[in-house]
Amino acid sequence: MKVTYSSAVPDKYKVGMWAFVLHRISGLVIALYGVAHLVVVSTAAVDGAFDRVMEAFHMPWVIALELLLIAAVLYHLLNGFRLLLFDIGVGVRQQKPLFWGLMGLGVVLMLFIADAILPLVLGRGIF
Amino acid sequence: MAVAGDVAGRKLPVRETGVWAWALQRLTAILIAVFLSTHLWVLHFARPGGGPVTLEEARERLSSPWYQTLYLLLLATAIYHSLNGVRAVLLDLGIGVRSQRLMTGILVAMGAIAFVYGAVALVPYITGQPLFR
Repeated sequence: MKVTYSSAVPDKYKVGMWAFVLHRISGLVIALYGVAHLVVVSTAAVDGAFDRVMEAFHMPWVIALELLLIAAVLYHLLNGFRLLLFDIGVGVRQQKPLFWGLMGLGVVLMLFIADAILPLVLGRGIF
Repeated sequence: MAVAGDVAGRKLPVRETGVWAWALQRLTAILIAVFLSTHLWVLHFARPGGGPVTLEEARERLSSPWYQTLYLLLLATAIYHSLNGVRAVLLDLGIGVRSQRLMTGILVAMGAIAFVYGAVALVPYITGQPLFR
């Protein structure tokens, strides 16, 4: 029988399991973005190409994708901070409340960042 | 096999490279958090207006040795952290478990290529001259 993560993990560890899976997925997404980012910024090597590329990418749907990227980075950063704490022996018995506390902080940070960026897409912020 | 050390009289069944990889992953995480926040703050929040980034302003920043150092360090730490992360994901998926040295070699080569590519990409920002016309 094939044992999936989901069936092998008891309910009380499910939050941690999803935190782990999301950490990996967000990490891979950010790594792939890093490759694309290197290619885009390297256009400065060709005379005039950088400014043309930057203008071409200054579109609402690209900015919306950048917001998703920021969400992935924030998640990876905050959950990674939690992992660092466990490594130094802090909060090992409060893994779940720490997770939700940091996610709350992430939502607040995301709202502020979206408020700064959304004017470029919608013409207005959130607040 | 090299062992990591003695814990409670028992040798840890871990290769030294694994322990260093783990420690460096944590160290680069902290460095990236600092470098990346600086980078994002400067580019998206400390800029007046919401227009596209121009080459001229990027060059102005990169004329400073501080920004040159920041970007070279961010490049190096991000490449290490990403590729070591990819290695962990692949091993968890059961890929390359029996040929870890080969996989590590391939990832190191990819990282070296990415670092050289990124470092060369920085040159036109620093000199103010395109490499190709």
